[in-house]
Amino acid sequence: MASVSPRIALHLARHADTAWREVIRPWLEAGVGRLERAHVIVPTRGQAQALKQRCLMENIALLGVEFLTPGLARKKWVGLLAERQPTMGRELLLLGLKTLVARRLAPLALADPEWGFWQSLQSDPERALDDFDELLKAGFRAKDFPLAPLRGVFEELTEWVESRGYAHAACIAETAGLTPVGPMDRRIGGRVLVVGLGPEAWGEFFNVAAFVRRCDEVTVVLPEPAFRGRSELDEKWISVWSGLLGVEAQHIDAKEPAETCEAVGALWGRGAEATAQARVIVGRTRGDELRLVAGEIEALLAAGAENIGVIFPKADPAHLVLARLLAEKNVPFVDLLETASPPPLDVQTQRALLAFYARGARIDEFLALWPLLRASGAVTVSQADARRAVERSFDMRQTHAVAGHQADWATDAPELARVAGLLLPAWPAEITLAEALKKIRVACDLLDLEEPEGWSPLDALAKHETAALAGPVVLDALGSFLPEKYPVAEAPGRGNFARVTLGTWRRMEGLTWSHLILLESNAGSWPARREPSWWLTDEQREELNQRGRFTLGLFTSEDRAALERAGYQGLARDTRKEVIFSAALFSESEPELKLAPNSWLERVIWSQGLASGAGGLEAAFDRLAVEVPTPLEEAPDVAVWDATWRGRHDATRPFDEYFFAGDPGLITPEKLSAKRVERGVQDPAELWFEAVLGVKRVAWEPLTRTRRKVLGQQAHLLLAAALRSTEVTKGFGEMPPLGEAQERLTAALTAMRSQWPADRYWDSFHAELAQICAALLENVYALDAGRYVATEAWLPSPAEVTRGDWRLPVVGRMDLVRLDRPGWRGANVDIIDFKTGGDLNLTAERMARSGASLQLGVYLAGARSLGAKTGRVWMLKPRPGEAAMIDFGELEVALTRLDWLATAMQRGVYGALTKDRSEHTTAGYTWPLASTPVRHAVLAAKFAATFGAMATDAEKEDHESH
Amino acid sequence: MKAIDAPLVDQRARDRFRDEWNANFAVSANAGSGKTTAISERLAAMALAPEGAALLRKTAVVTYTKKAAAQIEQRARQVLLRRITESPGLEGVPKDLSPLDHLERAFFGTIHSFCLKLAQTYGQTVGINLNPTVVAEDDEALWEEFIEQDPMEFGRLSAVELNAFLRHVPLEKIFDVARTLDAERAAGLGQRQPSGLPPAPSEAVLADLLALPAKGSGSKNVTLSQQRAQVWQEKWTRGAGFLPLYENEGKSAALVELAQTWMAPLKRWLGDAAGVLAAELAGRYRAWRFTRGVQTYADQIDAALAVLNNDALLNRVRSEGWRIILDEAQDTDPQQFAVLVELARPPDAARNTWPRADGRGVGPRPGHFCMVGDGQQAIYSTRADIGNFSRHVDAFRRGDGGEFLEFQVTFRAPHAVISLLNTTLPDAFGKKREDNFGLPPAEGAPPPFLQVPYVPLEPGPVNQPGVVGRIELLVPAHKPAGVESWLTEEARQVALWLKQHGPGSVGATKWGDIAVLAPRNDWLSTAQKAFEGVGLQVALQTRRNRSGDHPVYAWLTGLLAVCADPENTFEWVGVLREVFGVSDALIASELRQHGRLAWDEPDQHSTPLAEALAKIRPFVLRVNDEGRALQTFARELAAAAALAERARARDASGGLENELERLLAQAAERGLQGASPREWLAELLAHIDDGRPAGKPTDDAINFLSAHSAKGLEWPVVIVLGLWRGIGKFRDSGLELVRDARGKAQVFLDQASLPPEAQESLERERVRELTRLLYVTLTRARRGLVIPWSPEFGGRQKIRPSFAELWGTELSEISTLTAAPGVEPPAISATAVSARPAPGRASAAAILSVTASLPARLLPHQLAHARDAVRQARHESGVDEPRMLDGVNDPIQYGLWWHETMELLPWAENDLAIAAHGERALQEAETLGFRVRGEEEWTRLQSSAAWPVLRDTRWTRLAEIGIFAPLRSEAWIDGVIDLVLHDATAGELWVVDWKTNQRRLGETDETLLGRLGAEYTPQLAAYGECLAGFFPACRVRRLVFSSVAGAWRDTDGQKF
Ligand code: SF4
Repeated sequence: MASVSPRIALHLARHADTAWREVIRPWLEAGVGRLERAHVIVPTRGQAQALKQRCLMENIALLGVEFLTPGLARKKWVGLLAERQPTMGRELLLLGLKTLVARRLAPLALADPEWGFWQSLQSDPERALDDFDELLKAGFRAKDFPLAPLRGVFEELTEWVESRGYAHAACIAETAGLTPVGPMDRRIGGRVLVVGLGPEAWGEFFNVAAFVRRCDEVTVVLPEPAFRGRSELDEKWISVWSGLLGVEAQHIDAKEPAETCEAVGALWGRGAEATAQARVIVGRTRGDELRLVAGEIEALLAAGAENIGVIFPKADPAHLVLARLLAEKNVPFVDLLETASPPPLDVQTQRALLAFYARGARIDEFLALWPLLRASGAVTVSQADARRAVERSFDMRQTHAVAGHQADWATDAPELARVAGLLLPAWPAEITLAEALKKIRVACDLLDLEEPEGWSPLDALAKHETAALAGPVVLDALGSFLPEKYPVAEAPGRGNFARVTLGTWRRMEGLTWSHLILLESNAGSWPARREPSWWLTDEQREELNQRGRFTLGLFTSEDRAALERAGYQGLARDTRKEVIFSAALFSESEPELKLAPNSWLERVIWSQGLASGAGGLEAAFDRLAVEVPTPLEEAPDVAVWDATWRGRHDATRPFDEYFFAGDPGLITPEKLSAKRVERGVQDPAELWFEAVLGVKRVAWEPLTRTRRKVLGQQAHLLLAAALRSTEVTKGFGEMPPLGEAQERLTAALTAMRSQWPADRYWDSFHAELAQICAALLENVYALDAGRYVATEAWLPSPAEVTRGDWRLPVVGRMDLVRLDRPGWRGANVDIIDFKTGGDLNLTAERMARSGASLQLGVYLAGARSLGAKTGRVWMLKPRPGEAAMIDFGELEVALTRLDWLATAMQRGVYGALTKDRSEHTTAGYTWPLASTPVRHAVLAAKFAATFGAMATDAEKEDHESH
Repeated sequence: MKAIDAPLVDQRARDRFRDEWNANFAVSANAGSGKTTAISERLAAMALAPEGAALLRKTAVVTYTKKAAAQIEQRARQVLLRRITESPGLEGVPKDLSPLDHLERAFFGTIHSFCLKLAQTYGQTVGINLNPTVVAEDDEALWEEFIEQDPMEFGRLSAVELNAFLRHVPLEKIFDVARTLDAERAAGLGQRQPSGLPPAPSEAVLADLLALPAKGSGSKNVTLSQQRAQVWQEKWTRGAGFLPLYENEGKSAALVELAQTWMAPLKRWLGDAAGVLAAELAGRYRAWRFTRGVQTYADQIDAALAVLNNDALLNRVRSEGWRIILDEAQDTDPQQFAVLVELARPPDAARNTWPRADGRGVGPRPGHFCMVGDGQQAIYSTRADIGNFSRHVDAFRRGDGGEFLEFQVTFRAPHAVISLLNTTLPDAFGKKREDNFGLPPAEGAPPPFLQVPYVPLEPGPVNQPGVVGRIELLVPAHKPAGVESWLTEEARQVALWLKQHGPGSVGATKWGDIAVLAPRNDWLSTAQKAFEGVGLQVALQTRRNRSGDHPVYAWLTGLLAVCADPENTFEWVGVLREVFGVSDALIASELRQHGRLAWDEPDQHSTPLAEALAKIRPFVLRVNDEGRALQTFARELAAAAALAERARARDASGGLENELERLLAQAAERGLQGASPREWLAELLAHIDDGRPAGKPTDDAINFLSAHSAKGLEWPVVIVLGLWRGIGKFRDSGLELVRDARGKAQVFLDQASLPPEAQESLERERVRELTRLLYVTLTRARRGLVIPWSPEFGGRQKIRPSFAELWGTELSEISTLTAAPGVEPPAISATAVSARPAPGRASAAAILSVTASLPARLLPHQLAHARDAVRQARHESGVDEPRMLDGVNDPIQYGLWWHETMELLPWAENDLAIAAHGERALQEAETLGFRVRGEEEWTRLQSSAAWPVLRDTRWTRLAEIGIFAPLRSEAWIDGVIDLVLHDATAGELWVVDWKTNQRRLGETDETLLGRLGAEYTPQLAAYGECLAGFFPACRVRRLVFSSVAGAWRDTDGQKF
């Protein structure tokens, strides 16, 4: 069958400007006035943008001319194929590959020799897939993988793809690019111009070739070799094209442009002489650098610069900063770099949902999901309440599995239970694609989320792939179809034309610039260090290339590095006036880390003789650095705030209304719990936040098991159960006999054991708990005290503490009270506190000095105010006979610290005594996040300045405890 | 003094290290001897060699920090450039710069990153995780996750043994050890299997304990202890129930000792059992980390070891000829040493056979292994092992594996310091000190000398004469109580002295030239208060400042917290008082009055509070919005709260502003990955406790550093604080993990249960290390070393040793400093504010000429009233946008499909061809999941009124036609028209636009078409206008076709 052959021209251009003048412009003008299809294929949309801008500047209107990137070109010809086979995107291929690896790994054990390989591949399938893709694009197939197991798995992957009715995109392209188009075949027609594609576009070659074959008239302009770094690759690239087109490449015979910065590029080669066309800008920080560059751009424009190319290594924070600076200065610019913003709330929530399943349905991810659900209105419980409910159930259950909390939530936090019910069960170990899609869609529906967009390729595959797959693998696949980011709406520099263009070298090569600014010219920023792949090493690539089907094959890491360098050099060559390098002296993320110029800039500095003086290059770079503070025009006045700040940190200044004080008539709490009294005298900050303001911190830290705390909580519960009287009147009843209490304790312990998992951790926990309870119980019975008891007894109103005229109603729950009669008035009272950890250190002196265990003193005082005849408060510990006590007689001394409390509450001045946080202690009260700590020494001095003599004792304790 | 150009005494060693890059060396480099430069010189020589490119591709320069690695790399490039410049070139031929490229191929980094690279490059067959997330060893949440899923069953002990263990020790006690155990030590512990059941505590010892007389003040404790011992013994005999180890009451020495002796055998058994259990759990933790895809730093070393433990891989790595240059070798632990040494040895060498004391075993290949370090500066015994380092050095010393070189010349220490140290330190490091020896390995055997030998310092050519001077401390009449108070007193006296005499008195030109060093961080805080108390500025430089304590970090975190959860009143309070300076009194009364902070209706509150709420309110409202970059959110939030102004007000030197910039850059970085403000907050919170370097040195502040952090740094003047004060051990309450005499790991139940010999040998090693810490401290000064001292100061020390004791010289003999006359103290902070230069260039905006602006580019969607996502996705201008437009969006995908189907429709061909085209398209639709809709609308099109009109043979058709043309003089339109029909004869030109928009609720065909017409009229009108320019003779009609309605409409209102 005779093929249709288009009219063809293949040109080689040394300069972008030559290509424009001699080929591109005439080609574009040839189409004016006809309703006729014409395509221009360029490497990226950057080149399209720039070519259009040049048309505009030279007033060339276009009709029927469409600019295509290779990816868009592919869409065009694929639509024309007689046989259209669907192809799998990367996400689906990854699903397939991971599935195959998981299957291989499943029957293997650590000792099997193959285990290691599959384990490693499982940890890095992405790069292996990239290599496979490169292999295909270079005309190789799975069977060409040098590593036998990779060969096997990728051959199977190919089979998997085909058996499900799909094909590899690269194979389709290769066939379409190589096969002549028959007269009956459908074609694109019209004219096509291919410009700016260098050897780095080799991976897209067949996509472009297939397009070109389907046109009537083909014009291709390639970069001339010799002037690029790796001329060998360039030559091969040209021969690939002339092989495809069947014509010899023609050098464009035209006058060289008069102006070029080629010499600057040459500096980065084997060596060259100094040139005046390079300039260096160094900022002390990245911020300084960018402010300098923004100023430079303004100045260049003011001096009439025609088109300035501003090159970033990638879309990075520096790019955002410069774009903002230019926008603020009203400098029009074109921004070719992508922007990113968070996806819509629903998508964020869907992602959090997948993360919840992926991490095993744990409370941590449940809590991360909660605020998103709250924001969308799917739940009503606040983040704080949700967190606290989880903390409570976690204290009881000590598990991160949501399933373990459901029962507790059912009564304590029904909404959490409801949501947990919607989400559970956890993700299964194996699941089919269809079930997985359904499960998430159902969950979305129940949570009032939009259905995930863009899952149709998965739905399509699910029809063919019906086997159960590894759960995590499927979850990954679902996640890969949810966007992690959205473009920024209304970012500056979009969809316009301007004399300043921001982009990367890839998007800007092959074009002409009047000025080129290379940003972030620091070592480590660019050029990128290119690590060879380990699945397909450079050595293996070179070997494969020996027997490849095409002139070009696989690129090694050095090839890629050389192409990048050549790309930059080409940019310099196509720049007419000046190449400006900018760099920073210090890293922004690690302000102590000094940066170095990159290898190009280094040579520029060297060639300008700046480094020859004493100190060499480092010093020269240092000297170049300039600092440009952000101008704070119209700065809000912060003088008042600053005075407040200094006052707060001023050790000589008493606490005032700016430091935890206010009008006592407005802010004084009516009553306090015994515990708060104790903690408040030790650190009034806690009193201020929790009692005066009535606000409580919401913890955000990951929940971790706290064995000590749980031991204590459980021991209290168990002892209460063991000691509780069966017949209670007005809260008091007779204490059961020891034997009965012990039996009850044993029974309760047995019941409790069944709540925890049957493993050694909980065995150990339980054994210690049993010992603690038994010992405490014995200690309770060893006391010579009344036979009436109240367990977990509340101090009834009107219990109060008094100092002189001052009285404060108090509340609190005591572990155990023993009395000799069933009521407070006239009784001999023993208040008992169980202590399961820490020191036994209960004395009136200590309490008086530091307020330690003051809570117990407050209970005792409360009992006295209720009319008890005698009273003692005990602290019991779980060793035989370990008990300490204070009685009424010592109470006046013990409550000394209440004098301060009385003063503070009467004056409305509280202040703070928070301990400095050090590496080993985090025990102090935690202030809100926004607070910067005031050093304890300052607080203590302020405290002394405020309360005089009352302060000194607290300080003493402070030193002791160190 | 020697002439400046005279060769250094160690010049030959330096030359050899530089030039003989094909030989191995161990270099002992004294403090300040310029080892970074030496390594750089060697690298430069390699780069200049003809085979430089190949050599450096397989050269790794490893050191302990990223920063140090970067420094060597920079220095090496600088040295190389200098050498190229100095090399005699040919006239007119540019110098060959390609050696610089070679240098770029070498690896510079930390040992850990090198191990990671090794594992990734070679480890694909041994089950290495190639894509690990690196986590800190002490990652709490990770450990929590692990123990929760762990079965918590143990197989290495029998059930009875395990029960016996758990009878006395909670299982949790092994966790801390298990968590941080590396593979090698775990293997060692696993071997210490306890034999049989625990031994019964000795009845004889119990009898002694019970026989202790109870008298005097301690009698109560003795009696209580005896009672408890009896109870304990009964319970032991009964054999059931948890039984915590016996502890006596009180501190009576006899009682304590008997109690310890009584429990010792049991504790020994329990210690071994704990070790075995910890090893087992550690093994599972390691395996779990692997499958979970995380790696600790130790795992990275283990991964590299796993590669090297595989014969085939080891041979491959070795035959590739890696060359290692190891810096800071004294800080390198045995595992790391093993990795680096093994890969530098010849391919057939048996593993772990070098170095050996007998000199057998093949060392690294010549030129493949160099180490540079200084044993005298080994101060990290927690991670490194000085013995292992010494073994390697000794091998080189005797010529085994390479040669030993010494760089004695210091370019830093002044002559005065050198002569003081050279006369006093040899003793401290020498054989007269018992602590410098280990315990004898056997009865009567000579004890091994374990201290690093002192290498005398030699001055370089331009070292300063310098001064060592003493500040005489006065013992106050009223003696301070406790060491803290003594230290405060010392600091106060030193500070007063400095304040009185100015920096010049100690040889400094400004306060920032002075560094105050002390062995412990907490001493510095104490001293800082005293210095600040007399009005001196202090820059306390620590690497451990909590991030969350940094004002800017705190402000931003607090602000984000209220944005993310506006119901969190606690955090609002923090923001209001701290960021906005609202008074507490106002906050309290408003909270009382309203019960909450009405951020959503700020007007409810009084002024300053209301204003603050109003500033933050917009950010609360948009915290969940898409389409807005995190960077913008962060910047605007910071601006609304005036953080930059506050930062500058608080710190004129710009330190706080730098932190703001750093955090905003972080927001930008995270934002590029699509992070929301909420996610950024989570990240800030996760790192809020991270230690960060803090305390920027300035001209006006005296630098405070711990001796450890001073390593590698220097100042003109150094003051050593607390020389008199005993330096204590860090106390640990948990299990003790120590290495025994043979270097094997062993677990003890607590510090007290270590055998006395073990305690002694640990203590001696601690003393040796403190001696080295003293060396580091004393070698930091370039000009002056200041010793605050008087013999009686500080009183008797309960803990030992002190620096003075370690130094062991008569410090009172050092002459006292006399204040240099006439040196005025510089005014404090006079320059701080003005130090920043004014902005360099005048704003050019004003003179920006009109020529700078180009005609506008009109993308058709900017003309339409509704977004045209399909068109955007197909347009080249949309190609590089993030993946929302990648075609994962269903409605867009359908639109794309429709447009493609229409574009390629063979209008002019017969029905058969059209049907075939339709079927192909529908198959495609099927795989994309919308065949049903596709089929419906495809059918609807074919039965529509438009169909025959479109297929009329009079047309020349062109689908997907690009148009780029001036619409008005100031704007060019840039778009693609779906379909243009041209009839030249009739002079007609029709523009057709396909729309796949879904019907809205209640919309009829009519209203749908009406809406589409309205929305897209401007767009089509613009097309029409431009087309008219190309075809001036034609009448232009503009049509919108709705695939849903299956009908079209003229956008001028006319309906077909
Ligand atoms: S209409 Fe807008 S970009 Fe297109 S051409 Fe449009 S979407 Fe662009």
